[in-house]
Formats: sequence, structure tokens, C-alpha cells
Amino acid sequence: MSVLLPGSSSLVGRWARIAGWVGAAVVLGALAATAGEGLDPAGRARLVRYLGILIAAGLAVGVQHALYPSAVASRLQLANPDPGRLLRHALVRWLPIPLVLTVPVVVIGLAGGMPLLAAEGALSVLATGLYAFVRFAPLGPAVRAWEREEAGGWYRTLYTWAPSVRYGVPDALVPGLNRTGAVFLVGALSPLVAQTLSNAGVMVGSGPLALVAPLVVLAAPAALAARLRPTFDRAFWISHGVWADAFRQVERAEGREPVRVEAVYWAPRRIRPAVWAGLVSLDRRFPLGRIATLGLALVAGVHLAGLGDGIEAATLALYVVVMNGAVALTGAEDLLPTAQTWRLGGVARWSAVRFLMNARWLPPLVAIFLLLIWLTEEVGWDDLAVWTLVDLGVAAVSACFVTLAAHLRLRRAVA
Amino acid sequence: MPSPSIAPLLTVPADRQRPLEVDDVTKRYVFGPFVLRGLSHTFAPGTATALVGPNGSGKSTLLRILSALSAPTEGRVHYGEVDVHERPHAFLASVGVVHDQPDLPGYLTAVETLEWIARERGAWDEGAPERHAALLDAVCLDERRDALTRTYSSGMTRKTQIAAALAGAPAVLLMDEPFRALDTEATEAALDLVASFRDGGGLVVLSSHRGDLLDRLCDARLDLGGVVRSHQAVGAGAP
Repeated sequence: MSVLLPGSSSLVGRWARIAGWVGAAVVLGALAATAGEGLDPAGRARLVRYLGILIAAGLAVGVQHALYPSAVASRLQLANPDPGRLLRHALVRWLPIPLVLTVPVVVIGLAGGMPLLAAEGALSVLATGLYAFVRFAPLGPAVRAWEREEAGGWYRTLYTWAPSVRYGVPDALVPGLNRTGAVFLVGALSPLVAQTLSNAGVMVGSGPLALVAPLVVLAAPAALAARLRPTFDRAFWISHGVWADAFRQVERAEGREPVRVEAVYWAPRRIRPAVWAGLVSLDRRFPLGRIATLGLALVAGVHLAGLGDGIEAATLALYVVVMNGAVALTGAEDLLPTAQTWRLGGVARWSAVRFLMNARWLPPLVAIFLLLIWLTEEVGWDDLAVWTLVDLGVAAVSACFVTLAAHLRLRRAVA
Repeated sequence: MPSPSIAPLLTVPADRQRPLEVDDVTKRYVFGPFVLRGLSHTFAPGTATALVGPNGSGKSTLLRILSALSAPTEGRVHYGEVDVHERPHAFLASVGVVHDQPDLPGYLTAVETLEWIARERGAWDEGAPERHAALLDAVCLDERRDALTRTYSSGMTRKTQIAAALAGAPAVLLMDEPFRALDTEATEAALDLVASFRDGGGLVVLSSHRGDLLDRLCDARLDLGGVVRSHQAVGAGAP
């Protein structure tokens, strides 16, 4: 990225990005270590498999948002890299995500003294990540072909005969939905395939030989990625256009009624407009409500399934970090431009604003705890108190950190 | 008049002069209404065409389609024999773009930005530093060309964008509101530069709300109208 687009960020910015990835890896590793505590080998293998399925779901949904629309499209136009370099650029942009997601799998395997499990799990996650890239990086031309009715005839014929099989979305979005399903399926199955292959490897030989087999799982999408190279410019630019158009249109369409300023009655009057503006902007940028619903369902599900205290704690911690960490999006200049906000108040004011934006996720968390206290005997009031404090603490730290970073960036820019 | 030393950037050899043909292009966003419908037009080399029409008439959308940033829902765009959206790398090798939104590498200076583009596009040689200096003179960026572009004012950013679009020795110049934020002197300089490029065989397509400047620069106007309708019926005309 830095070679292809020099001057994209400062040395500090580059190190901050690397530190961000390392930080994410450390957090995920710590959560995984907590989740794996006290598990026997069979439990660890099961946990890696479940984790693989969860990661596959995340990769299947997230890949398109990570790749397109390209934030640096104008600069890529200026440089006009050839298809091979464009492919490398897209891969470099995407691969850190699956790479970081291998960390929890590796930690669970290694902490249990099961290096083969760690290797199988990591290779499966990488294979899923690469497969997700292979299916979504060139999706634009397929969307375009469906839009122009040059492809997808089978689907149109199908719903002409049986209208109920038609998805509730425009036909052009169907290839994306199908590929999301395919990536999830491959991701969910790849740990099993890797394990089966390595079991076969162990029967034939032993030790390192067993690792050769899971590599096959990784080699297949790698070969598919290499095949993209000759015409990747077409795939990249059309895909960028498809997503840029879609987001532009989604932004125009007021899909949901925004939060009204009166609904933010719980914020102090002096900062209420700022909290309201921040909430409206953040919700339009990223619909966190759905993530919260899924996260709380996961928290309740993990508890009711009795997967163990470690996994429960890790799930709760992940929920708290994700919900409070999302406020980092408000540090982006296109969301809350610091040049505008600093005129309305300093670090303390905007830290308070962001803290309150985060604090709105506390009531649902408390509600799920109350439900669990009512339903089961294992969850107590002390658990509720501890996690309330943890949530508020993370909310405060992330709010201060994001505000401070945004203000420092502005001060450096105008210095 | 621009300095003779930048003549290589403003002169398009005859073998690179090709028409840009829009053939029955329709653009409709997935969830939304038609923005363009059945638009056909040929932009000829050695001409400057103004895209005109009120806000929302599809000027920026058409520029995005012409610069391969967005694909048409129906229809094709050809640059000579090249289908713009099937072979974007081949097409973009001949194109310089000035986007409405400023997007320059913030941690490079203007001088370094031009060097980077020229090197990427194979337009770097011994004479390039002198050419680029003359190019930055021509857009009147004389005050802070060695400062990081992220510290530039909007006018300085626009000047750098125009210079960057020309640094790769393009044959086609696509510009969205290129004169916005420019002062009078810089506007005159930019007009001279683009007119020289056009006179050197370059193909220019631009949109601007500055009708007075379009009258001076452009050979033709493509009126995109205020409502979605058959653009074939609107067509192009002399300014």
C-alpha cells in the first residue's frame, strides 16, 4: 500500500495502524485465552470449530465492506497501477483482517499444547479469508451482468414460476447474497476438511507431514486468487463503482427515521445537541443496533448453552469492546469533522459526548443480565455490578482516546 | 501562454488521439431512479465539451462513468477501440482526472506528487523536474509547492489536482468543477492551460457552474437537462 500510494499517511499514522492491528490481535488473543481456560482437548477442538464458524460468518459479511468502495480510488486513478499491482493492493488491504482473526484460534490451540489444532484452525481461517476475497473482489462485473440481465436468467425464470423463491432485494444484489452464503459455507466446512485431511496425514505419516494436508485447503483459494490477476483492473474498477453507487444511493435514501433530539433527553442539556448529532451520524454510518441485538443474543445463547465461564466472559468482553469501540468511527473527519467540533468545545466536552453515546448500550446489557438473573441461578447481582462497571469503564476510556486522537490530529494539521 | 517546456504534456500525438464514444448509456442506481437514460454522444479529440445542467442532472455521474469510477446500467463507453469498463487500465493510461473532491496524497508535496504520478505512468525522464516546475508555475502554485499537500488551502489543492491530472501526459482530461476555489489569476492560468491542451489535440470534458468560463473554453455543450428524459433529444450544441 505504501509503495503503491506513497504519502498516504505519516510515519506516525503508519505506526498507529500497525499498533491498531497488534492491539486487536492482543485483545482477541486475551479473549481466546480466557475462553479456552479449563477446557480439555476435545473442548478446545470444539471451541476452535465454533470460532471458525463465527469468523466465517464475519468474513462473509464483512469482506465487501472492507474492499469496496476504495477510499483511495482517485489516487489509484492517478497512478493507474496494472492489474497485478491492483490485485496486490486489494490483497494487502484485506489480508490483515483474516490474519488477525487467526490469533484466537492459534492461542486456543497452543495454550492447550495442541499445535496441530492451532495450525489447522489458522489455515482454515486464512483459507476462508482468501476465499472470501476471491469471491467478492471480482463481484462487480457479476452484479453488473445481473443488472443488465446478461446473467441470472435461471433466477428470473425460477421466480416467474415460483414467486415465493424471490429474495426481497433487487436482482442485481442476488450474486452478492449467494456469494455470502458460499463463503460462510466454505468457512464453516473448512475446519472439518482440514481436520479430516490432517487425520489422514497422521495415518500416513506423522508430525509435520500431517500439516501438509491442511495446506491444500489454503492452496485452493490461493490458486483462484492468482487467476484473478490478468483482468483484475476490470474487476476492481467495476466493483468499486457498484459499491460506490450503492452507498451513494443508500445515503440518499432515508431508510430509517433518525433519532429525534427530544429522544436524547437523558443527556445533559448543554451537550444534548452534540450527543444527538453524533448518534444520528454514527447510526447512519454503521447500524450498531443490529450488532447489539446479535451480540446480546450471543451472550444469552452462550450462557444458556453452558459453554463455560471462560467463553461467557470472553463473549461479554467482546460485546463490550465492539459496542464501545465503534465510537472510534466518530473520529473520522467525514463523520464529526474535528475542525468544526473543536469550536464547540474541547477534549473534555467531546469526551463526555462520546461517553454518553457509548453509554446508551448499557441499558440493553443490564436488561439481558436481569433476564438471565431471572431465568437462571448462576448469574447474580454481583455479575451485573461488575459488568456494568466494566462497560462504563471501557466506554469512558474509548471516548477519551478517540477524542484525544482526533484533537491531536487537528492540532498537528494546523500547526 | 504556458511555458514551452510543458509542451510535451499539452500535446497529444496524432496516434493517441481517439474519440470517446458514449453509446446509449443509461444509469440507474440499484435502489433509485434513472440518472441518465439513453445518452449517446461522441467527444472528439481536440475539443472541449462542457457538461451543463442544473444540480442533480447527472453531470458528475456522467463524469464518473467516463472515468471508469462507475459502470453504466446499460450501454457502453468506448475510447477508440477500448471498452472503457472492460479494460479500465488501458483506458486510464490515457486519462487525467480532476475530481470535485480533493484527494491528494497528504504526506507528499506537490512536487513529489507530480513525480510519483509521472513515474507510475512511465512519463518520468531527465526533463521531468523542469517540466513539472513549469507546470506548477502554469497553475500559479508558486508559494508552497514544497509543503505537504495536506496543509494546502482549497485553492492550492485544486491547482495541484489540475497539475497532477496533466503530469501523466494524458490524451483525455476529465474535470469536475475544476475552477472552484481558484482565484482570478489562477482561473485565467487554468483556462490557458486547458485551452492549450485542447489545441494540442487533447480531449476535454468538464462540468462547471461558471457559464462565463465555459463559453470561453468550450467548443460544445452537452445539456443534460433538468429531468430524466431521452438525452438523445437534448444532444450537443455550440455554446
